[in-house]
Amino acid sequence: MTATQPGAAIDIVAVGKLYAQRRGTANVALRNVNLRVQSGEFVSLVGASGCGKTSLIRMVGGLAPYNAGSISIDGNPVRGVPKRLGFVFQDAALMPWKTVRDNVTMGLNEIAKTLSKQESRAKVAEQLELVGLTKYADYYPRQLSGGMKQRAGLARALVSGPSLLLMDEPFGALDAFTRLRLQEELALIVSKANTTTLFVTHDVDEAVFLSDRIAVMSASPGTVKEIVSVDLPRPRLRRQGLLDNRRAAELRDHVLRLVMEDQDGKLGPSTAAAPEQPGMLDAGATAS
Amino acid sequence: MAHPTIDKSATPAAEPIPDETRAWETSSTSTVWDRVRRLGVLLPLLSVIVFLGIWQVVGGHVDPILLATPINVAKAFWDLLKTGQLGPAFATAMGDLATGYALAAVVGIAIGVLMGRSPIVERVLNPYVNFFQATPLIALVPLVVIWFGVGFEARVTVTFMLAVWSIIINTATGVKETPASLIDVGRVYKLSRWRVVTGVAIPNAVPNIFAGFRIALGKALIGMVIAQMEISVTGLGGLITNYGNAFKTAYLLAAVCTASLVGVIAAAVLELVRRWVFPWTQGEDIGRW
Repeated sequence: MTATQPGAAIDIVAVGKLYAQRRGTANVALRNVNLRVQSGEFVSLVGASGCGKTSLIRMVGGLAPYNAGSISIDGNPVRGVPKRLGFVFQDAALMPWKTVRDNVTMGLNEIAKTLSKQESRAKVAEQLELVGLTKYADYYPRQLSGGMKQRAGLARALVSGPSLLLMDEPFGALDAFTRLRLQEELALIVSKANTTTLFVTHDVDEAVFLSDRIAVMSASPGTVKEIVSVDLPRPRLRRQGLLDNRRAAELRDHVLRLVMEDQDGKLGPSTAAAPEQPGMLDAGATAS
Repeated sequence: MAHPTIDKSATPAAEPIPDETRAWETSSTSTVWDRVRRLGVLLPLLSVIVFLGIWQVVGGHVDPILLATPINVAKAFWDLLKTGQLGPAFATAMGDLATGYALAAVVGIAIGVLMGRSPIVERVLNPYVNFFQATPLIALVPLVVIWFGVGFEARVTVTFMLAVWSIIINTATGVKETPASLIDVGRVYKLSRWRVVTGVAIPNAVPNIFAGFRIALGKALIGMVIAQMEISVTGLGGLITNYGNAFKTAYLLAAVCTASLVGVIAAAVLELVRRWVFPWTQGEDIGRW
């Protein structure tokens, strides 16, 4: 592995985000979001679309501003893009004019001055090997399948040995088999390197498989509704059937119900019998 | 129960293959395909030969002032070459075109990038770009003569001013449409603002820039020939004007053909540059080969 360093800790305290609209009104995208991610932890943000999970991860990555509260990484408030950050985007976001190798090399930009040419070349080669792209190092992105592109995006994010990895629905656009493969690979890579990871997804199964904890978000205004601890043993490998056990199914159902409740509430009064009582939901969650 | 029935029905059907089917599978498809491909090369050639033949026959029955025959045009071409008129004219044409076009490329990309990156610059410059793009700029030739005289500078100016707008507009579009996620990648991996422009936005605009180059090349050719005809009476445009005034139609057409040759060469150079320097842009049109 590349030089591993302790994963960063994230503190999200009472964060809010308003989008100004016409005539002085404002759309509240996020309200009073609280989340603490410990060093080396893998936390997923799950929620119906429009709950602001992408906004939140972009704020943690210093790519978007927020209006209230504070986000700090290792105790330092986020101003601009934090140091030693890896970010995996939904559409891989590779530069079409760069080969896979050169795209991955971009990930070393921040620490390029501290590395000799040979060192950075070795790091890139090592990372390509890790994601299984050695053979395709000199290909252009348009010559790759969706899964390979996403592998390259992952390699770019990991090549510098980041202390924080942010992933915004990285596997959302992939076919089911590729997605399962990449989930397993990601789980192995990240746990080995002890990288703190914040992972946005709308795939509950994926969240349960990968996470130490799952933050379920509700929409309008977006906020963290409940945090579910995933107390499944690691390493989790699908072919060993570890995820088919009852505990995993329970967790999956529980998270799914939390997300669905939220959507039912939005759809209309027929499904949601009474106004939701967050307190009650929380009580149910602590029991599980 | 279902399995045996499937097996029984599958085996007999697989055994006898009709001879016609086999023949169709192997030889005949390839020959038909070959024939189609050969036609693909032959047909345009045949078309040109037939056209030249008709032209030759028609031209032979018409006053040579109205229409020269292809053979006479070829003779005139050879004569111009031999008497040393064509070489310098060709060189002048190429020189004017290359200078005006290169200036247009540099200025067009610079302004286009500024407009693509800065909404303020875009709003300030948009009215002018749209105005000049829509104006028949050839009408400004007399003004160019007043400003720059009748020499090289004036001809380059006309070539430049016809070509530059397409390059500006296409560059600005390509830069502006850089996917937000690619800009984010630049920020996450700590590229400076300058490097985000040079390393992300401009490369992203390269396909658009080359599309602009191609449009601008046609316009630059028009500008170059008109400037040589109307301003200096030199180069290929000069030959066209002079032989037109002398009613020497074969020589006029020979000069026109040479001007097309300039265009073909310039377009080929552009394409070669694109392939050598920016191989990743090949994806867009690779299917047409």
